[in-house]
Amino acid sequence: MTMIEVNQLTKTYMTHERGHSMREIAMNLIRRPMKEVRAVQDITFSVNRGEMVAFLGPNGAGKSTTLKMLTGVLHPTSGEAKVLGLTPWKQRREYVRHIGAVFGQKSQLLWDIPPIDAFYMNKAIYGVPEADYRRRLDQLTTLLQVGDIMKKPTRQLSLGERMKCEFIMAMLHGPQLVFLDEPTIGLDVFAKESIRDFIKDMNKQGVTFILTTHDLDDVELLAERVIVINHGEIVYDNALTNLQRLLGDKKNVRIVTDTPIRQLSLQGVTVVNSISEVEAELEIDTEIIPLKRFINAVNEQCGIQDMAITPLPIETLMKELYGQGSRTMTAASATGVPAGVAAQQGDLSM
Amino acid sequence: MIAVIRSAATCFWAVMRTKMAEQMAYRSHFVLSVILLIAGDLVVPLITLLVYRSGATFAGWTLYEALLVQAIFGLAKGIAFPLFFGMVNTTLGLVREGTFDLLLLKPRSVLWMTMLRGLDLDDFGRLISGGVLFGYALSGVSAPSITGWLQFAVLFAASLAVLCTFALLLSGLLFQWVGSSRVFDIFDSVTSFGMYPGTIYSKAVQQLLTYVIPVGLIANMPAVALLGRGGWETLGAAGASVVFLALGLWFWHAMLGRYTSAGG
Amino acid sequence: MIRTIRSIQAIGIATYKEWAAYRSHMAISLLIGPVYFLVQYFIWHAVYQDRETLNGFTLEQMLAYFGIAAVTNYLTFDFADWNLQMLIRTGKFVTFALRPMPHWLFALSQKIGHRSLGFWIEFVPIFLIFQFAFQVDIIPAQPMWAVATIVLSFLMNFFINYCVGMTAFWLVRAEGIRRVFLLLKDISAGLFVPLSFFPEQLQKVLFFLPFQFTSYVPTRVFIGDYELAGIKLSIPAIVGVQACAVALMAAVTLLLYHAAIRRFSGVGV
Repeated sequence: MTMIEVNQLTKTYMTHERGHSMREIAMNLIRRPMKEVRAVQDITFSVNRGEMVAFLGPNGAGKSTTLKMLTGVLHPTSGEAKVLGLTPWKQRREYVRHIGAVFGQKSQLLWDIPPIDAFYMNKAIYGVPEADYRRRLDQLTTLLQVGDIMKKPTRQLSLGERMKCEFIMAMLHGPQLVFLDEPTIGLDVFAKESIRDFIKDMNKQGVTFILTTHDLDDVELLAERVIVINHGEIVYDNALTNLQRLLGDKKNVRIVTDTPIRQLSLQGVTVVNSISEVEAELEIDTEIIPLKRFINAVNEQCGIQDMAITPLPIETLMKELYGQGSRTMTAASATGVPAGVAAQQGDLSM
Repeated sequence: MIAVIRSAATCFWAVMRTKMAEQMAYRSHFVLSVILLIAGDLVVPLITLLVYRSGATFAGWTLYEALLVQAIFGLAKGIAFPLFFGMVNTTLGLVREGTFDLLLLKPRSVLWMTMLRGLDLDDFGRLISGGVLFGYALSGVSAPSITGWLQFAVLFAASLAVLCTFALLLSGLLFQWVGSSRVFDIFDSVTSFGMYPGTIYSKAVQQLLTYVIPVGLIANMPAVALLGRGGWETLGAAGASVVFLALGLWFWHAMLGRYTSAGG
Repeated sequence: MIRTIRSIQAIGIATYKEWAAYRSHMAISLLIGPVYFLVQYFIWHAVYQDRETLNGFTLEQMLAYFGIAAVTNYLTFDFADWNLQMLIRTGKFVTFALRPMPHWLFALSQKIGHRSLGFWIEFVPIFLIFQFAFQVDIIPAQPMWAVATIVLSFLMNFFINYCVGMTAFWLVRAEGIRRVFLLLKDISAGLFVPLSFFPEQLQKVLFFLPFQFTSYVPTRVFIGDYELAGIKLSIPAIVGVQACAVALMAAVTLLLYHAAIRRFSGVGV
């Protein structure tokens, strides 16, 4: 069942251009030139109930603009969106009753008083019945192992404890859809793990999550599907596992040899990092040179001492995706070809 | 209807409870802050006193009469500041930090959320300075009649409406004019016209201060009513406050509309 | 020495640019200044209805007093107290403790940049409005002494405010102290009403406090005669007294600054 249906959503806005030189600043005192910024252009996608989708993209790509429109905070310039059967920015008050949001960098708790008091305030604002409130609070505190910390003033809590309370705050009214913006930023490994476990648990119980993050571990561990936005357009929308195939079958090889690697010249092999004369990190395009042939060739030319083969790290994939911008995948999504098919065809000009 | 009011009241008390808890976390700060507000509000009465001490008057008003105007100003602020002016602080701070969006995520009217978020208990302290000054000023004038008190009640409500409108205008301005705490300077300067007896101004300015920018309604008109110098026709001025309030509400929502369709 | 001057200049220019982005915040003075003055205009007209002079001021002199006090304030305005307290409270002061320049000098350079912008945006237009639209005579009686008194008042305002800011090194919640102090400072500087309105005994106390040198003294120097607590001084004499007071205040600031830095590096506020 479809929960989010977004159709050609676009947001443009005007901004001032600011000068840098003394003269420009002096001129700006009188007149400030305006410039149009296209934050989001013709975005179309849908999300089903119970999905966990990660929104990725470099800073300023249009992610947060998209999310603001989806949460009803920002009005789009054109296009439509239906979430839970409502248009977020038109039926805001009715809509936000059914959604939750957690921001890693914006606290919804009150700094000087214990989280429990902030929960109580939210209960009144959302009009949550007493019985539901008790039940959910019990459930959430058990799941997150919060216990007594929610009775301490917020300012005395560690970041991890605070984030747990932020999650409780966002879930007390039983939202069906939750937006997470960098939910694990700045947390230590233990706190990250328990937050991720909690998200998975809630997802199993049917809550849909939309996640934005720069932490690719979050993505790998949580999201089945990723939507990558760059320059205001969707450049990729598919399962994370397909991303590697999408960018061609490449492998990362770390190698130690008997004789210097410098002499090695093979098509489809690029040196990513030359560690010493006899040690290097390589990237291999297996479509041009199959692994078997690569190993034979290297062994003949330089003599292999040690070797580790791994799939391309997700960071590398992201960098390639961000770097090459919009020209690649939009063709597929715009023509209505299911993104998965397009991805499997691997029709990329590399 | 009743359900709506009850739900709004529940909200209000839940927020007030957390505000009280917040204040109790910094009791000493709270006390100091109240003392400061009182001191700040007593500066103009102090100057008035110094002027009268030198043997001068404001266009024939006695010291008690002049202080009555300033006392009513203080009382009106004592109610309007804690309830409405927090809105100015809310938009000032949250729009600058980029967290005003969080209020839009709550299933209540944005104006109501902005007001709740801004409720400010220290400002009730102004009622103390206003009340003391009010008692002192009344002790020096002849006791107001019942009619006077009735007119005062209506005009005092109009005074609160005018102050609420100012809060809406300033708060609305801050959606666009991000982070400028100088809106309070604008308020202080414009409303300083209202801290003195209306008759010190020329006739044209008096009309302007009653019907266009009704700062004369904040304190002067209610004081005139208590002194028994206003007829029932002064209540017409209360009508001006209603129009002014409607304008403020429209402006605030228009600015919010611009905010939710701008940015990125 | 040359390096210090270059640094001051660079910091000043950077501050100027930084604030130029917020010039609308400053330009609102063009509304606020004249509005306050209009209120004063009506008040004093009402007060002078049945008299020629009050506490030695004629109506014209009284209006000139408020006009000049407002205009000169745009040249000497300062918020070093607020800024320093914010740096200490948020822990950002440490980045200044690591620089090869004392923070007070950095802050003074910032003020120079900030006021240079204020000169164009606030001082010049409001000077013209007051002088020509409101017909207040702001042009000083003795221009050279007026420049000197403004420079001294600029420094005095800075030193006083910087000292108030430094209280945050010792007090956790210095914000309240700051606000009380500023209110008292403005009253004792004669911003709300000329100091000659205060009771005789109080005037004597005010004569020996540093506050009159921030606003009351420059205003009287502009007008061309000085009197407080029955003490009449010639213009060169009062500017001389002001110079001594500024030197004294500078010494106090430096002493306090060294104590503050010792405390900062010892305790790590």
